[in-house]
Amino acid sequence: MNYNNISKELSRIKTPETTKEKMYKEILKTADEKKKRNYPVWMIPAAAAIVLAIIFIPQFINNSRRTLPESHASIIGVEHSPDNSTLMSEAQNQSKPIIEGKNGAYNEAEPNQGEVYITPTLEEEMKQYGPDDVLFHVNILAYADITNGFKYEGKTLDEYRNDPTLKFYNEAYDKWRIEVYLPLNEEMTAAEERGEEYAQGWWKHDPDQLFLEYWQENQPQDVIAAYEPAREQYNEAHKAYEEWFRSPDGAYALTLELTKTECDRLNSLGYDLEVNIDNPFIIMELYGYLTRCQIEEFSVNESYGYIVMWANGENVMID
Amino acid sequence: MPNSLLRTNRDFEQAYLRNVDTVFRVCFIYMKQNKTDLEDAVQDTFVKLIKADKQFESLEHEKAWLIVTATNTCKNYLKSKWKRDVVLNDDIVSNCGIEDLYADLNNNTVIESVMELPSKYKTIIYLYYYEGYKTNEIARILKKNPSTVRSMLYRARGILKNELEGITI
Repeated sequence: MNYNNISKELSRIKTPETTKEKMYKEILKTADEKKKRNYPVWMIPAAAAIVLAIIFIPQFINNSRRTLPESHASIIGVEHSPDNSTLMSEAQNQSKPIIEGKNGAYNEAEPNQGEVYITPTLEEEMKQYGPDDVLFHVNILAYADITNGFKYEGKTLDEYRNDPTLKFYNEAYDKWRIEVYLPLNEEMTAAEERGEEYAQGWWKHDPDQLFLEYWQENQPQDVIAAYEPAREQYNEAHKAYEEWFRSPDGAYALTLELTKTECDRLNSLGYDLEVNIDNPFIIMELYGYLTRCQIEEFSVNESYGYIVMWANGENVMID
Repeated sequence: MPNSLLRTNRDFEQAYLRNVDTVFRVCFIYMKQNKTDLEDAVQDTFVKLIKADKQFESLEHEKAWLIVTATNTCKNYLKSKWKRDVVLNDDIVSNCGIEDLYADLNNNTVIESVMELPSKYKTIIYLYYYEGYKTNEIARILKKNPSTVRSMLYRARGILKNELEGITI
């Protein structure tokens, strides 16, 4: 079983051909039956659903997997533990004690490009040691936008997206979306936090209304005419991107390649890091042994944002 | 591209063939082990497409609309106690293709872990890891704040990480 590539595993879910045909016939049959009805029969299941919803109020399905971590660390050094020979031999500087975190934590901040975020538990522990006294056993996550690793007819997806016509349209869309969005009242905010769907009444505009129609009414003809071919090009590029993303040579492979390159770069600067090839997500992950000085003065690749955390902690997230 | 308007069966057939795998996949990760509901949810989603008689700005828009509709359809199924509790005769649910698919995916830990995620995370994980959308694009599709999407993605990843690492350790 390959745990490494979520998209690859999901692609194994395919509609069986016999089911595809069977469902198609059923859909046409159902749609045809509904057309023949001249009374609002759809209200019956809707009313039944409302009654059922009232009677059987859903119980909370709560996941209790996450627990807030505690901040702990332990020294696994020559004088502190007799079981550390393996770890010590892996460390770059064998004369230094190794600090292991029992629990690690990181918040939900995704560092900006060129930034390094050190988790609070690790940072707190680092204060207790000199810049070069001990080695911290750490994980390093590097966030990169791998979208631009894909090119369609010589252009990245961002280059298609940043076509001036398309950009103008998208900016207008964002503005329109914000303008028409109703501020949430207390009840709506609570519902949103529970992950419930928006009721149609939450929106000022008809949820089925197309922005395109609004936009076409408010733009000169030449702008409208330029938009369609740009959109078409972007659609083609995006379709090719989706195929690339899921292919064996796609996003996961590129992430792994970038991780290896980044690992080599850092090791050439004196770091002691290895690539975690088992990361199931499209995130670059390294692990190894660094001094406080190496962490504090971490040599960044300006294209990436980094999180440095304990290597062996639970690495659960803080809300 | 010209706007797609499903005026004829031919138009619908093309839209169906373009998107059936996507809709099926979304419904599959929601409809845990309930084969009949899975088919019903896929069918209902496409019936809604016919009824909506909707214009789309692009194929991407069409797909995004179907993903959201499939998600909502599945959630509605899951909310219904009648649907949850109904026990179906094996003869009624017999469908070789789907049976084979379930057998093939049996013990697929990644898929099982995604299916075990709380509902609110499933579509985000699907859009991010299968469709390759950025968080800003997901926010547009789901009509959510981009920071909410990022936050939910982090939480979902945290749950998945624990699930997957729990097996590999």
